[in-house]
Amino acid sequence: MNGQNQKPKQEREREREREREQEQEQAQALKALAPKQSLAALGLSKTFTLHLSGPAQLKALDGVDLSVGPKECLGLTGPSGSGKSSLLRCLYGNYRLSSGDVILKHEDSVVTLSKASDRLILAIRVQTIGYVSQFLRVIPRVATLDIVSEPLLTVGWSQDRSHKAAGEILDRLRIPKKLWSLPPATFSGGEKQRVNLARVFVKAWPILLLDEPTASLDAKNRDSVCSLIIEAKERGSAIVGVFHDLDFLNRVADSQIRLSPPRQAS
Amino acid sequence: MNEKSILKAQNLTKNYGSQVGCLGVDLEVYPSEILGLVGESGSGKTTVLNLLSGRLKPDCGSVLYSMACGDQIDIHAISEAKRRAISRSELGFVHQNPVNGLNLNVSAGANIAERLLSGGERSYHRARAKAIKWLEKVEISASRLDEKPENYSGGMRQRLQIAKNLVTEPKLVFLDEPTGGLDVSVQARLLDLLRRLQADLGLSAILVTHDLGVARLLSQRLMVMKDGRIIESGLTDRVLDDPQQPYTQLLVSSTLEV
Amino acid sequence: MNSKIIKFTDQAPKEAPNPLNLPSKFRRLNYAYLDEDTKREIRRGLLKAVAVPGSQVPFSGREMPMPYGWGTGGIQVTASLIGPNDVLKVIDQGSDDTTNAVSIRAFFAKTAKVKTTTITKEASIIQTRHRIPEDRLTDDQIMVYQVPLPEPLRPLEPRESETSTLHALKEYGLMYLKLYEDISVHKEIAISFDYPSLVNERYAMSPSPIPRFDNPKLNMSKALHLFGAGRERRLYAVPPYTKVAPFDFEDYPFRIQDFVGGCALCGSVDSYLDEIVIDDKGGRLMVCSDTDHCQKMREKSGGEQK
Repeated sequence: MNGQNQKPKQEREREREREREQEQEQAQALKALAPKQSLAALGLSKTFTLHLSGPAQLKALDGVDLSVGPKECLGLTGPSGSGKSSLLRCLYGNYRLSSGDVILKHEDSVVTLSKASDRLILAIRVQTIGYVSQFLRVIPRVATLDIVSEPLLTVGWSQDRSHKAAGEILDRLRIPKKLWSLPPATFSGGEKQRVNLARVFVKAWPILLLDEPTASLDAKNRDSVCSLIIEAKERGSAIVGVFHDLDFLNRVADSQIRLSPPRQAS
Repeated sequence: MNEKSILKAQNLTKNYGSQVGCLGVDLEVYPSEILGLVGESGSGKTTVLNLLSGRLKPDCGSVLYSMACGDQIDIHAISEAKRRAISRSELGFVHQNPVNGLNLNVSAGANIAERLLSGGERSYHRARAKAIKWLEKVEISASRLDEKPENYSGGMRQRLQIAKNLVTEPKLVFLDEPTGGLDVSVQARLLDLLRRLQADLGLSAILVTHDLGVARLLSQRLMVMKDGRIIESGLTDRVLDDPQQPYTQLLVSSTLEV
Repeated sequence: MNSKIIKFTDQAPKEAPNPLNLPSKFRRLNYAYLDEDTKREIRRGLLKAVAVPGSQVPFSGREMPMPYGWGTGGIQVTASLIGPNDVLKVIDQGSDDTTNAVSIRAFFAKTAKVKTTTITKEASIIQTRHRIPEDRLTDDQIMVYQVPLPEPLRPLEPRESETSTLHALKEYGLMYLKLYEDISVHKEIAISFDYPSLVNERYAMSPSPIPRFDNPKLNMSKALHLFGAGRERRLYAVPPYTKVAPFDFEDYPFRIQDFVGGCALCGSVDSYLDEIVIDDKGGRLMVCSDTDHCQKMREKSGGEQK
């Protein structure tokens, strides 16, 4: 009996210690994150080590700071190679930070992304951060409607309700109904991009990351995306986006950050 | 997040004579997640899978499994009888070659029913009804229930093997290159099936594959093996998009678009 | 049980004994053909088999003066048990007068100088191929079965290492798999002979190729049942008063064969019937497979008529 009792005791102590550490971390993070912000980056740097060529060091981001709150849209600008996409990927947890921190509100707590466990990041991606990538990457042979409903199904919506919501968003993005039951593999570039958008905008996200969401869209569809972004903002999303056309940027963004290509160490 | 893992391996080591099978492998699998294990042939992926599933005894290390009843057991410390009983009910093992996981001498229905019958099912009709249900779940027509899998195509055999494993609704399934050796179109259908079954049943899986594309689409977390060790692990998309280790960078850059 | 059979000495005889003054032709042979060491080894195996009902015990099987498949296992078991006071009956498919039955009876009459009989009730040892007599057996009788394939799991699992593990762990899912397959293909359990049964709620056993009609006779039988497989070199046993339950499903329970009408010769309606072709025009007759039983019934009814 004694032996059995001891173990949980030690474990409990360890757990308490862990909790204390977490609380301290959170307190620090909270201080860093201004009271009304949803997402912030502090001195964020990213350097790639390319082992296959050298190894060479490639700096992508060098000490970026940003913060964005609910109902706010931040536009990232800068010449190509200035690390706009890389920054979004760092915010999403897709790239590992070389230094600096990404801090965000997830459910009722504040999380330091660079210190979060893989499992926590996965949970954040289900609940908190929506990310529109430049390319649609899905399991082949899955119907478009199912792809778009997936984020809702994973948070426990019924099939019917998810399908209904997915249908509505596909409608708004002008994907013809006859395509819904087909997998998007054979769609045009613009259609694929709209499926990609629908998959994210089908759900309300506290934080939204948009990487060139309108790159291959015509004017009509650009307008639809614009209103989707504005609606999301009104619902309370904090948005960070890379928008390639200036006109669009000015329509949706409340503030801008201009990135410049970091100086590479020789 | 204080989640409890369903499977926890610590310091798993296995040598084949002077040949290293795997060395100091630690890993954890959480409920309803697919953990990918990639690496080239001979890197020790299958050894790890066999050690985790209890099919092979490690030289040292432990594999702790949380049973459906909540008790935690060491797969290698329990009796053979208990290990086999758990392997037949709560665990699944899908072989790359379905021939190794199926009994080709009996019908598809009997293949699916086998685990139920071994588990004490004594009603023919109940066993058969479940076999039909599972055959349909893996998209094989119920009219082919009494056919021997000899007559099945490669893709159908693989789906049958999956049904055979899932009929007892296991908590954890070991997938050893489940799409290897299949046509691309058949592969795609199987991927979709696996993903849906995982979502519907909330089961966990360890997926061994050398196909990074398959790993990206199915697994949430990924481990990269080389020479019997785990050299890199993390979120699947992070490992594939921002690989840190020289070998992982080589692996990723050698692959056609993933 | 005949106490003289079980009594055996630890010492092998120093010279070939001939206590019964066997005819000179057989004088060079040991009593009951096998040497005493072999008989003792078989008896030890049988004791173990009785102690673990239904479990297969290996033995070293001798060459017998007959081919495998003719009952070499049964004859070795009989030889190791038989004593001068025994009365031996040998049946083949229920019949006392087939070549096989007659030869084996003659063999022991000569080598062991025992009395032989065709009447079930009179016999102390009954060696059989493929039947259990219709008459109820008693607690001083021993049944000896000739077994071709002792492993009930063999048709389902070719590896000996695996079948022995399955027995050790009492994993008999494969048995049910076979039944499942039968029902799926034939709409019923299509095992007419050698119907596998669970002995003493522990070991799966092949009852040798007796018709499933005879399976219930093994359950809680008063007699001792010993099984010998010569080619496969295995012994096993069902001791008296042991449960022997055929494998089956709740919704497809075990059934014995049923016959329409009774025996054409004796009228018996509760015995196992053989089909006999009686002419060149396809005429057939259903008669008792157990010739002794049939004879007895005929005498009985004949007596009543008189």
